Amino acid sequence: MRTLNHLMQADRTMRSIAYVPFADNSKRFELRSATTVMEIIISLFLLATLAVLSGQIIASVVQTRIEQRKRAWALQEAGNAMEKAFLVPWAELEPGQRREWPCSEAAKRILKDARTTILTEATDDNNVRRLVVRVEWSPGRGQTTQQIQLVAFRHHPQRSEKVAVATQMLGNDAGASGNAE
Amino acid sequence: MTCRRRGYTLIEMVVVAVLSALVLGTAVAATALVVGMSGIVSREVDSYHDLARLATVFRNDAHQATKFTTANIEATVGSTADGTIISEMELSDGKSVRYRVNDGLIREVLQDGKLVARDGFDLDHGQRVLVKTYKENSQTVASLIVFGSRILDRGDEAASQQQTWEVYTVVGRDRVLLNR
Repeated sequence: MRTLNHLMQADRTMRSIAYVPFADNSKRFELRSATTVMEIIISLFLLATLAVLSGQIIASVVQTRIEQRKRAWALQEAGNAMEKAFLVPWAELEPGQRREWPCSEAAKRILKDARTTILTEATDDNNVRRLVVRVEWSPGRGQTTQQIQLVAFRHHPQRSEKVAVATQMLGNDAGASGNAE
Repeated sequence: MTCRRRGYTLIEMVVVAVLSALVLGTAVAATALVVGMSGIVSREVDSYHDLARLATVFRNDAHQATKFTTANIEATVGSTADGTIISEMELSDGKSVRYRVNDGLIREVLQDGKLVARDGFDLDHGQRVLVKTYKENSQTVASLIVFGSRILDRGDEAASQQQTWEVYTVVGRDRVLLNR
């Protein structure tokens, strides 16, 4: 009996065993297993890990949605700016020139601190200009500025006439070409 | 005589029940949030994808247009069964293109008065589409404007009225470049 009592004592210390005497105050007692501090810590740690993971997934989904929306608007803004760049007379397209273009009101609502710039670059062919439209915006919260870039080549009108004649002979069609980066 | 019984007290059961309800509730709410959000995200992605495709196609048509006409009216998606023609263009290759608004935005290509191709762009019911033209630097420019969606703007009526997706394009740009 003494040995058993010692064992119970040790077990109680180890596993927080509840010692509940019976109502008749007899020497009999009930042995019930409970949760150790270690088990609680582990379960709390697992719960916290799950909560953090869920939070990260939700935040990532929201962030992706916002980014996707912003990029779609920025690309649209760049496309419109490129169209406007094709309205600028050829004589005004000086290589190395950088123009600031006002952003549309709709894009301003979506893109924080939006800035549209059009850069005119020279190419190997003097009759061709490389037009680079860049839309930059601030994603906020101290992140680096986001940007998208659209590039197109504009040909000199006289050169284009020659291209037109050549393509008519070949039975093809030609015009401005562009690509997104 | 020693009696060993394993069981739980009422307090323990109550605590466990409360904690379980809390964890389950949070899990269900989080799952619903993620599922709902992914639905919105995929709809938004599809919507922006369609708008971007519309922009590319509309610009290509306008660049090649030898004649450009617009009804200059705001057509509401889903308002008429047979649709409203908002713009028609004659292209340099002899074909003609018309943009029709009914359950979405439809682009129809015609040759010798016969329909040869049809393309659709998914827009939400209630969205409005307008095509307008004006002169800029002695060139005709066209704007296709899609007014915002109540679904994308989370039911915000004011935002859906204001927020517009505008496709700005120079009419006959390729033709002008070739002939200038």
